[in-house]
Amino acid sequence: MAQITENTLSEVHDTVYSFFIEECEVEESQLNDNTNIITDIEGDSLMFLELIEIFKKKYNLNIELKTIGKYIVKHPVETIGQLIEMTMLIIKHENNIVNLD
Amino acid sequence: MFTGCGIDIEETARFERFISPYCKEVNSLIYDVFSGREILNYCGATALQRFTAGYCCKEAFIKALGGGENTADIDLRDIELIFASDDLSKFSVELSGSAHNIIQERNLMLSETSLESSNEYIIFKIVINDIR
Repeated sequence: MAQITENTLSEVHDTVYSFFIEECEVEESQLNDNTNIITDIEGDSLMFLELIEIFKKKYNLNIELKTIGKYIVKHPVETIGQLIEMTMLIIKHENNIVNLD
Repeated sequence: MFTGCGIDIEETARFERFISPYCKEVNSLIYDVFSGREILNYCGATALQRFTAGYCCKEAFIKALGGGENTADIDLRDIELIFASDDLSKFSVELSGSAHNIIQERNLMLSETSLESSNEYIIFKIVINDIR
């Protein structure tokens, strides 16, 4: 389980925003936490997987993709804000994220 | 009666960041998405096209089942696209573990699988039907 510090949220925020700016070829001004990843910036599943992998490496996380899949069924991740929120939960709880409710 | 159709299209260039030529270096994401058997099957001269096709196959399968809660328990590595030769047209889709279980529990079968490729894109289609 990674150590969550005061900087973790801003690190996650910056990583997610930078990723989508580059991958979706958009300006930062076009993004906010309510941006719909698919409909607004044409994000897709491969980008999602790659982001997860980035965070797994960065925070040395023990999390399986299908655990994330189960979490998303109950807590849809459609916006950048929801993605950041989920990422913070993963960093804090890793595979136990599926048991949260 | 159930009929599901899943189609996925991906640009092969997107996978260049995950696999170096001849798989000398492989991103850790590959190990989360592809089985060991697939990785061995794909690494070679046409690795980029094969990994792209493999990913398209998995996405198409998930889509054919409707995604969401229907497929939340599926491990992507349990959906394997295996090529019989260097020819991309000769392949089989093999299901194991979580993917096999969901098909069996719901009495379904893969009635159609197809792969189309160009220099830049791979398209994979899966149709799933009731067995009865």
